[in-house]
Order: sequence, then structure tokens, then C-alpha cells
Amino acid sequence: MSTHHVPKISQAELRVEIKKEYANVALDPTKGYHFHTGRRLAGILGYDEALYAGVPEANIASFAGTGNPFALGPINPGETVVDIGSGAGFDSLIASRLVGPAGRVIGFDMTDEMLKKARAGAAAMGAANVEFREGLAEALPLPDDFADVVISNGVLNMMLDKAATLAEWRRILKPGGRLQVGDILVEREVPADALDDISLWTG
Amino acid sequence: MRAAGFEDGQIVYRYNSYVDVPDPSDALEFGTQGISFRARKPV
Repeated sequence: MSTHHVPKISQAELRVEIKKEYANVALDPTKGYHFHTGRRLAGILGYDEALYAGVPEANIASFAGTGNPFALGPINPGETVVDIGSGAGFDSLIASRLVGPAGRVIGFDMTDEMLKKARAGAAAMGAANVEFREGLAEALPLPDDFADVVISNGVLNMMLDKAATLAEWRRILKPGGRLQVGDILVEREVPADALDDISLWTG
Repeated sequence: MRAAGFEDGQIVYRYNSYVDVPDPSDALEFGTQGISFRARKPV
């Protein structure tokens, strides 16, 4: 969503609603949401099934991204990848296989239920090169110039200050580092009353 | 993207990913689409 209207909601309020919504997606992925989930969504977004072969079904089921970071360029062995808003870990677990044992993946999420599910998935896969940490997209506890690649999928659209969030993602990338992101866009102007409707930001 | 200090920003893919969703949102009336985009931090 982009407009000159400043929404009458705060990121803190939005954070509470996002946590509620995505805790549900972690616990009950087939309940029925404003978006598709799981294998059907992965198919719509063009994920090659070979990419996520071996990812536990529970982690696939709670996938709720909006694009496909892996369609945007290679993730190479040995690279360091940061996944911002890693959810149930679907993309992080894929990335962990691509970077291999010499690489490293760190997924950040703020929803406890998602973090728990992602960690369980990594343990089930025996993936020692991926970790899931609690963190916020706009304030990542990482040093400057840390990552070769930043991936994210369906997070930026839920940030009120997108420029500041992107600047934070830029900060943690190494010079020459790649940003590979799934997100949403809207084709028509969003009226002010809709921008103030918190339910339209979370689904 | 440029304002945040990135270069080579590009939307590469668009998806009609909200067709037939179980619980359609009012946001769909604004033409919501999924996208994949990339950019690079300057060297």
C-alpha cells in the first residue's frame, strides 16, 4: 500500500494483529484465510517441488508467502542468508539446503508459534546450518554488512515505514549483496479509510 | 528502492495469487497481486 495518507494505526498495533493472524496460520494452516497457504500457494508462486523436497509437511502447510525469492537468482553454497519474517521456516529451510554445510541461514520472526514450528522443522531435517531467532523486520540484531542475501516473503507490505525497513535490510547486506523478496502490490489507489483499517494490513 | 540505497531494483514476477482464496479480503478490490522483486546493495 502506498499513498501520501498517513495511516491512523501504529506499527505496535499492527504487530499485535499480525501476531494473532500468523499464530493461527502456524496452528491451523488450513482454516481458510485471506490468502492461500501450503503446497497450493507454493505451486501458484512457481516453487519447484524439488526445492522443498525433504522439508517437513508441517512447515510446508503453514507457508504463507506472497512471492518466490528463489526465482530471482541463485542462492549459492557457502553463502549467508537472512530470512526476514521467516514464519514456519519454509524459505529458510529451502535456503539451508542451497547454502549447504559451509553456509548459514538465520530466520527472524516475531510470532512464537511460527518460531516453534520452524525450529521443529530444522530439527526434523537435521539442518545444523539454520537457526530461527525472535526479531523485528525494522530492527534486526545483526551487524552491518553481514549477509550475502536477504530474503523475505510477504512482510514488507505489513510495515508502515517501508523505506526505513528497506534501509535496515540494506544495512545488514554486504556490499554487492542481493535482496530477493516476495511482496504484494495494489494496482489501484487505496482510499484513506481503507489505509486506516488494520484488518486490511494483516491478511 | 533507490531511496533506501538499493540499485538495480526490479519487479520480476507478478502472480494472481489471491484468486479463489478461502476468505476473500476487501483489499482485493484494489487489485492486489503477489510479486517477486530483487535489488542489490551497491558495492
